[in-house]
Amino acid sequence: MLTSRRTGFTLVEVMVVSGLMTMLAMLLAATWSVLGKPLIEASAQARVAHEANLAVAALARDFGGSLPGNAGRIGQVKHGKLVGRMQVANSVVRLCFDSLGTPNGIADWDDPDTVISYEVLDGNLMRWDEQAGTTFVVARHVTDLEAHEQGDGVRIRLTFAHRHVTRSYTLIGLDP
Amino acid sequence: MKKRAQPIRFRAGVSLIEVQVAFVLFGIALSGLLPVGVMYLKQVKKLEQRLSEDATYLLAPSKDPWARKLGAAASLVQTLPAGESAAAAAPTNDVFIMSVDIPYAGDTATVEVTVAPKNP
Repeated sequence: MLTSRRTGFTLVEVMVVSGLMTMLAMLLAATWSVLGKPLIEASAQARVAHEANLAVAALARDFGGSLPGNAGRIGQVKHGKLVGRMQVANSVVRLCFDSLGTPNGIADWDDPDTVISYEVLDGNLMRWDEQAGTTFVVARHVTDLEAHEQGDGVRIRLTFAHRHVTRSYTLIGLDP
Repeated sequence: MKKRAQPIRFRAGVSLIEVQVAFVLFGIALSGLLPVGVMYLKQVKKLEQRLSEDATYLLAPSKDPWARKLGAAASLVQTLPAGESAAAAAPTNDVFIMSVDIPYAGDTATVEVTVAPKNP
């Protein structure tokens, strides 16, 4: 008695499967190059743009020229007014706000004035309240902060990098 | 009564028509994803346009000291507005803010102040 056992694939079956796999691979490659790669790059661009906007918003608040106290924005114009600015090693921006209790109109760079510093640490733009000792991350993916004196203000160049996206933005913080 | 044993059928793979259907469904899913991706790319472009690498932006504080005191952030502009008036004239009164109520919604803020003549 003859028995028929199938132990493998025929050449035609293997060729059909190979053809289908090639087609699938081509389809996936085309989809990846058209949609996948730009989306991943756009994700990095969006991240950098978002972080840049956060950094600018924080700087705009402080360069607004007045700092609120714990009790809010009470007192006279001179209370908490921005009275001094300096750059340390062209990489740290320090802002001195006059005392909220006994303002003297002079940057003392110490108590009772409030000193706010911006600098880059471990890829983060940090805002440090030197008197209160509080520090928070303003923006991430920051690789560099350059600060140079420019007449009536300070020229700040912030560089952001995330994945393959690198962006540099230039701001001039004007004195009030 | 004896029950006849059913023949067992083994399915060793998928038919060509099944693979084709799967491909069509995959294509439909991809075509649904495409508009979402395009919309996302447009939004990112808009977000990037808010800050340009080529431009130099000014952080210009308000000329009005009271606006600064009440928390007006510096404006992000590329050029200073022309004809903006210089700082306000020297005040004749001492004004002291006692309390400020700036609601999150709406355009109205309430500020309680005391006013005293500067040189009585």
